[in-house]
Amino acid sequence: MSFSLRKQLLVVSLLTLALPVAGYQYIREMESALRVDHETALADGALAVARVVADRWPEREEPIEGDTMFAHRLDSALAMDGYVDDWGQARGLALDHETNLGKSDSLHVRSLLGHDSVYLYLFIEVFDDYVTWWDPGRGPVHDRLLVRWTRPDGRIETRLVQTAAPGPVGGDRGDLLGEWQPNANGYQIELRVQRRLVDESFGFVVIDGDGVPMDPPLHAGTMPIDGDSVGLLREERPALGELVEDFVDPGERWQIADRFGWVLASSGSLDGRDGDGARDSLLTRIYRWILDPKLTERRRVDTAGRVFGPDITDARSGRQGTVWYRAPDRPGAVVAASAPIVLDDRIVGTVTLEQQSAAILTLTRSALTRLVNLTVMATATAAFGLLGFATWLSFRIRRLRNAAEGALKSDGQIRASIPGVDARDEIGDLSRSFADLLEQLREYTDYLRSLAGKLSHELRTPLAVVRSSLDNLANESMSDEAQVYAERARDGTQRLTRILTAMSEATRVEESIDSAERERFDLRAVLDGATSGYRDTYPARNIVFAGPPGPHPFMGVPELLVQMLDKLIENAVDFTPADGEIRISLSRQAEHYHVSVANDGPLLPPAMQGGLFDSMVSVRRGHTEQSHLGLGLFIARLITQFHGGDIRGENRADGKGVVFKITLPARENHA
Amino acid sequence: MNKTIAIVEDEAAIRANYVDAFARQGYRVKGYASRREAMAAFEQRLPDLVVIDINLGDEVEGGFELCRALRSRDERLPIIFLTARDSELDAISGLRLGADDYLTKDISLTHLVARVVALFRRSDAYHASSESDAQTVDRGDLKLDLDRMVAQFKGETIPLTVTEFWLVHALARYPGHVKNRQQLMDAANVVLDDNTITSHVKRLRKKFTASDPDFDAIETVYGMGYRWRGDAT
Repeated sequence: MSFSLRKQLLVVSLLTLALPVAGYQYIREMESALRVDHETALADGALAVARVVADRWPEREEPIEGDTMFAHRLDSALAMDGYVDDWGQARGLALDHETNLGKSDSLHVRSLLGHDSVYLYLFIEVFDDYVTWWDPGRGPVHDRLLVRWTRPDGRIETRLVQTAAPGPVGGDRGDLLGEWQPNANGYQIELRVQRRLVDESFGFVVIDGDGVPMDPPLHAGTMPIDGDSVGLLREERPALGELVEDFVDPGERWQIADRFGWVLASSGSLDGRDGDGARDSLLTRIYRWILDPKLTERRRVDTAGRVFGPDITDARSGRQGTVWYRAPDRPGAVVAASAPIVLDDRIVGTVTLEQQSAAILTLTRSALTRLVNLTVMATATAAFGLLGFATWLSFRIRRLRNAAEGALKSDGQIRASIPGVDARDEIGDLSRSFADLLEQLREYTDYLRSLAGKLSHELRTPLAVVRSSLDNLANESMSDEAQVYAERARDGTQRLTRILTAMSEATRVEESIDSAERERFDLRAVLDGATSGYRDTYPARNIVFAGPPGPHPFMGVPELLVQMLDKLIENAVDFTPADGEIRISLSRQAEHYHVSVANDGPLLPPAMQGGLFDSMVSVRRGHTEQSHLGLGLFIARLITQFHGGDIRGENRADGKGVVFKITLPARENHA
Repeated sequence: MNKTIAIVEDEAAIRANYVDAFARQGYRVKGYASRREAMAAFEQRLPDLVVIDINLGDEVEGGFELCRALRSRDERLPIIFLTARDSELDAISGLRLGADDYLTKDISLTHLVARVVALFRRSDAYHASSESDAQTVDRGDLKLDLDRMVAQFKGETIPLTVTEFWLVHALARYPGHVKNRQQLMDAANVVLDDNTITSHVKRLRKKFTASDPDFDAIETVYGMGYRWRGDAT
């Protein structure tokens, strides 16, 4: 499996994907900077508001020993019926209280505190495994409720609520009014007191009597049973909300909380900016997933109305704090910046400014969109460019390869035309190297090819010296013995001459091919005539011609064809045994003439088939009178090729001899 | 008066052998090793026949130069190229320069001498043109003057070299008879290979065709040889 240059470069082009990675990193940094700016701006805003709020801080701060209670705003006045049904939305905000002994199966209390413009309402649900009603004759072994608050004048009021039977309850002074109702798990009490009678602290405790005296008895609530201690009362402060109203921009929310996190006022809404809502496209969600900062889950507002979070913690310790968190009811991130409210060097609360991160997201999203678009374009351009370049490169290399492969032709000649030698790059260098190499190879091959001719030419002069000397010697008086030697020397020179002539014959055939003029002639007549000539020349062999009657017009050089036939017949005669047959045949098939010379005799070695026609290859064994340089078949091939045909030597099908097959194109209108 | 033969040959041994061979026949022979040496001598006096090698020392084509120079001085001076080069192109170049024959060094001294004798006879006959009882062969359109070695076809003289004349004579003496290559070689006093005979015949045909475009008297008998068409009268 080849891994083409094109594929390689295509893979390399994937490196351009580093571009979006870098771009993404850049956008992340940009986004991070924007976020820090945003946080700083929000925190500064929160701090400024915190200063304003500090001037109007309404709470009085006292040491407290009880839990703070938060009074939820109720929309309408409640009926004192002992049931929670009319509490509306606040129903879900009940607080759980453990006993003084911790979690207990005997007692568990849940409480709700609410207010409207007139009353403060308290609802208490008591889970008690053993309800004991008040029996005035038995002493304090019954279930009962203590409620305590501070009056506006600072006096602390404590009321005991107890009953001998379900029904209305009122406490011991008459300023409390309520209903005591048993239920399947225990009982529940609903109470109200006029709001104006209660100042900044309020608390309760449920005491479980169980019919036996205990010290202290099992109890649960927001304050201890004895003493004056009572927890703070918190409720929304609309006045504070009005204070920050002016600062609210669309999409922002302000929250003012006391130092315990009780939200006293909030203003504004996170909705409404940029129309960013639930209609998130897939793309937006992907951007969010890519770009949103690390979100904390730790910021929340609990059911009772307290706010928690790292920013709040920071603000309570005097620093500005910011946090990104996921609001449970909305997509995307919310950034919250909190600042401490400082009153007389004490931190009394926090101001929080929250904003949906949509704005930043929009900015970075458009940047990211452009980055993605640019990246896709750049990558595509680079890929296409590289693909094109690779195509061009591999085209050049393939062209070079094909030229290099085709340079050495089947007959051993070298065609030294290499493309792309003008290019000034490495492939051009390669092309030039190939061209140089082939040129040298060609020169060398030419040298080898002309070696025989040159050699015969060079040997001819010294041979002429020997021959002319011998000729002269013949005219001198010599002894009979000397005559014999001179005669042998003469025979030797004659054989040398024949060898030299044979050596240069190929060259001369090439020359006559170069100057040959084609003519139209009857191939059959020439073959037939030549056959009878061979019969005279080689009377000892049975030479026959077989071919269909009628003219076989052919455009070529008859002398050359006969010369080719001469070589084949000479070859056949050498190999054919005395009684063997040599058959010359002619046939026509469509556009080709087939001429074959078949002879009886030894077969060709398998390895030699085809190679027979290279210069100097001879399969002759032993010595014969004639000189054989293997040039005969080479000449036969030269002549065949000149006529546009081809020649093959193979063993006959019957395995009793060899056949040389020549195919010639029978083009009638051969130029 | 003895004929003078000049041999221009850069190979000393061959030159000496040729000089000896011709001297043995009674000719006066001078050998020259280079073109310059030969030219200097020829300034003084022209020989009666010149045998030239083409490659003369440093001058690869010195023989051609020499031939050209001699021909410009004497149109009738017999010139023979005797060379190691057997390329047809060289032969054609040499003959085109006006040489009377082009021989390769394969030729035996006997054959060479026979040719020289023939050439002298031709030039003698030319100068003594008045002799009337010339030996001739008459074959219709073709007339061969054996003494002057002149061939005429349809009344036009065909310029033939000695070798070519002998070939035509061998063919035309018995019209219709096929002469194989060996017979032709013997007749022309040459030892040549088949290719050279083919080339010679080709050149012969060209020379006749130049005079008569319809010439077809020399027929190829493939595989055997050539014959003079007997009915070409």
